[in-house]
Amino acid sequence: MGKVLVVGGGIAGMQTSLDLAAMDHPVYLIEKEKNLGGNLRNLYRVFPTNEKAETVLAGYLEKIEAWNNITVYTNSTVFDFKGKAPAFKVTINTKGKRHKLSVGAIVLATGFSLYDPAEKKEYGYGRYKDVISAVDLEKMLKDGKLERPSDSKKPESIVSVQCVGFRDIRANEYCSSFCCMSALKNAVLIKKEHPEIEVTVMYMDIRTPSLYEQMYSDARNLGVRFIRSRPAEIFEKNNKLVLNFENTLTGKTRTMESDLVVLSIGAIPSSETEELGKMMGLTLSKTGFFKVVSAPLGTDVNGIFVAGANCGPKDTSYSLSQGSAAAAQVNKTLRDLNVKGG
Amino acid sequence: MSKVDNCYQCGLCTGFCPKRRVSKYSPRLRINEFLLNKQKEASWECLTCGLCSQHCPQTVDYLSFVRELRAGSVDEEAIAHKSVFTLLCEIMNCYPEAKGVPVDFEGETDENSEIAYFPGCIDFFDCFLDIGVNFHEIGDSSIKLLNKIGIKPKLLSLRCCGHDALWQGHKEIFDELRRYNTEKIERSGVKTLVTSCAECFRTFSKDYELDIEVMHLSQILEKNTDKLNLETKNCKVTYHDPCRLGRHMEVYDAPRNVLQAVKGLTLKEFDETREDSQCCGVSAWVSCNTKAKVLMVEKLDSAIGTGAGVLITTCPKCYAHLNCLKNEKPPIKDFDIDVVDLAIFLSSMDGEAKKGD
Repeated sequence: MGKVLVVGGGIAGMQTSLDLAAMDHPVYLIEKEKNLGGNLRNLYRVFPTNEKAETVLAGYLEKIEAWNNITVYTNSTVFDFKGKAPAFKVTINTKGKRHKLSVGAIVLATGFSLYDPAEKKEYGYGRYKDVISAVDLEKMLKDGKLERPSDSKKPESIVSVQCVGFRDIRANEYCSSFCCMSALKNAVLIKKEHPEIEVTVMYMDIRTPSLYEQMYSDARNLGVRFIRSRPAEIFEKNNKLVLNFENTLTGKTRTMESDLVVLSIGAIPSSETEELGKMMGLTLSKTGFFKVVSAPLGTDVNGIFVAGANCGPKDTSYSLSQGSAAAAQVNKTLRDLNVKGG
Repeated sequence: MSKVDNCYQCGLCTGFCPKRRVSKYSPRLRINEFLLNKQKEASWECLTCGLCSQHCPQTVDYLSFVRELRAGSVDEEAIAHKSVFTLLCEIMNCYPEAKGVPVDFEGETDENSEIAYFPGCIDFFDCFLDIGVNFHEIGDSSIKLLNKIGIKPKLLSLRCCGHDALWQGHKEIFDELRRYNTEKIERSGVKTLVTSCAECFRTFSKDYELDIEVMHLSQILEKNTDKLNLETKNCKVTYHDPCRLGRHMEVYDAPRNVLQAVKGLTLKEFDETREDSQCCGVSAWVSCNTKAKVLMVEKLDSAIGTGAGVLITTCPKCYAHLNCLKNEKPPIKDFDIDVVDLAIFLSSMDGEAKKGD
């Protein structure tokens, strides 16, 4: 009866599973993709440690493998849900095959999806090959191939456009919180490896709270240029990308050429958020993420907790702390309900 | 109303503003100055084309902002043709017995029809603008087209709708025009008011509080394309979305569907079209100057770039401004394209091949 279902095998879900296992709770960890890792799989290095994402992931996989009381179901989703804490009956679907699981508590760590920058037509994503997303850039850096997709040439200049589809009532009104840091991290990585490349960040406000401010200083010291603006449009001319913008600090309207433009995109609710919310009777916030009803991670239903970016955009380190916190919450709840672990 | 307090100064608006290409005008800065100093000076540079608000991530309504700023602080210097059109409205307002605009148009009409047609103040343009076009023809053509789809409209002799007065800051002139027209429309008992002018359409729809249906000519024609039976030979045209019909009223498909119902006609789109359409260069006769002309030249050049021989619009003002530029003396250059109002274009084509073969 002390068993726990963890939905989502990203960094938060893996952390929850490891902590619960260490507290003697058997864990069913289900993941919709064929591999664990979630959005971590898209990243090159994670801030603020600059560790390689694949190293971080490998560490987690190794530890999960080592625990006998963590059962992983990949290619699996929640099909049906009944009961209440500490006796939930959950049916999961693994490639058409159904498994019935009885668990005492559930942690939803379903993560986030990425905003599709093609929705901002004026930026030409999908139309111009050299307009790429921040995730495309992570992949390039991971593969060690920093080049223009159009002609495979090394770019002499790169512009990162911030807040694409965020802090925007017409798309997503909220701030996605990790994109400034992710852009700064990549700017620093590029500048360190290729000091000759001109790197520019176009921003509205740089949001680097707490200790993250250091990354902003590092970027400036390495010669990354910052222009305060939200560009109006991007078009292609003579094999270069041209950005049309107003520098809001000088009040001057300019056009600027660049070899490569990176659109900083952020987190939107993943498709299963709404589905699971409906199935389990959980409230969503008006932005479409799960709503934390009782702090720190409780939902409308006793025994069901959320963790990570499914209750609002979060970076890797914040997500894994929440994963850990969720495990502690589950342990406490099951103890309160007198359910013995193991 | 205008939500300028929402503005977080990102500058996206200025990037989109057509005026930025020809001047230092910055909508963002304009809002900033207003918020910081409560500066009330009106913004005469703004085209009120709405391209900025269309994209504003904070949904600031820049058009309302500009209109509120202009109200009560009229700048006669900024208004073309010595403000003669607004003066006419003012004179009309002063004489309660003054009738509305003349309505001596060709075509069949019916005093008892529930569908009214109002040509707008186009006849005034004929008296004052010598640019080689015939505005009266818009009225004749519109009635002819309505007849063709089986409608004999009642002609309403209203006064000017007040569009220009309103956007020039003459709030009191507009209010009196609206009062007069609203009363006359209500007394007429009509259920639908059709206008051939995009500005009248916007004004009656958004700035009046009428209980009747207001339609642009292109919308009523769109519902009856089967009755139009128009044909031409290898005619390539392009369509310019006037800001009043497009971004202000979100009518993009109606004129296109009408044009595409014409056999033998090819519709070529501008690179920047529909929601992204660039302004013709002037609105409400405000700030018609060299900068405006640069925008008009760009507009005509991109129209020619589509390969079309005719540029069609649904606003008599765009029709006037772009033809005015073509008739500039001395000529700026030879623009190899006709600029025609939709109604005139459709009613004059019957079987006749147009330019652009």
